[in-house]
Amino acid sequence: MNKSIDDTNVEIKNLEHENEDLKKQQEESKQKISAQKEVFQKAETKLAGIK
Amino acid sequence: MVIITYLYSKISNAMKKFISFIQAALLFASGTVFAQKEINVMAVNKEMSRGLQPGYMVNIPEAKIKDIRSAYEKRLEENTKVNAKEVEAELVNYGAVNKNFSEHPFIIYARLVETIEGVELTAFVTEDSLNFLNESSSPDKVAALKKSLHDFSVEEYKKVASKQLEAENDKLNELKKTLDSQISDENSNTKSIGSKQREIENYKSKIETNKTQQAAKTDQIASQKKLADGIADKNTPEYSLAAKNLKKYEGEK
Repeated sequence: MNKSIDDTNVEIKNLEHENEDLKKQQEESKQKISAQKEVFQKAETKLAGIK
Repeated sequence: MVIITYLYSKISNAMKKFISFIQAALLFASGTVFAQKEINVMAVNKEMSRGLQPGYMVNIPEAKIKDIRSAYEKRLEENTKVNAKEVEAELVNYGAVNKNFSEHPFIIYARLVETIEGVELTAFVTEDSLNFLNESSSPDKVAALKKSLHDFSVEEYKKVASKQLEAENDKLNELKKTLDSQISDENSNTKSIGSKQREIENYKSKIETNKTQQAAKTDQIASQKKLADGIADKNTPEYSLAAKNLKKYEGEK
């Protein structure tokens, strides 16, 4: 029973580490989205201005 | 450990700076890519299949010759049953119709050249097969031809810009999808952590219950042993029952 608790605690730790990585990845993704939104807006402005 | 943490933070900062630099560079590059180009129709004198002739040239920014050739061929075939032909690297229609330009069919020769900036389209137009439209021709006709070339170029440039916009939108959606997936993974992990924590609490509770039951059983065995030991005559049915119960309790522990 104690062995099983230890195993489960290790699994919890691993999931917590994974979540820390995921949070960093989310920050990077948000930055990329923000940059890509600017690129998209430039493309939109370009299309709207062709005459 | 301190050194490792210090080095990690240095590497992490350098990495962040590098990512920021790449993003800034991409943004700058996108500024260049999405800089809008003006569309102007110019009068030119150029070599064509009929020698050096006056014509009108327009640049279709960022376009590919394959797309422009196909689109202009269709344009030359509008309102006429006469098909455009490719003759000596020129698109020619001997019966083009454009009521804004002329009441009668006319001949149009179009030369297309792909450049770094896009595709150069030069149109040479003649109504009598001898004289080509030029700056001294009727201003209305010149204006009509210029407008037709300008409109065509705008239409094609818009197609290019629309494709770019679509591609950038696809990239944006992909990034959003990635973020959604990361958020969903984190939520799923958080749920698993909660479930595993409850699992541990459940284990701990079972261990406590088990300990209590074991203590109770130990007490029961001790009482039963005392009862059995208290019976002096070991040949009585009372002793047999007490001994039997003692064995049973010990087996249950």
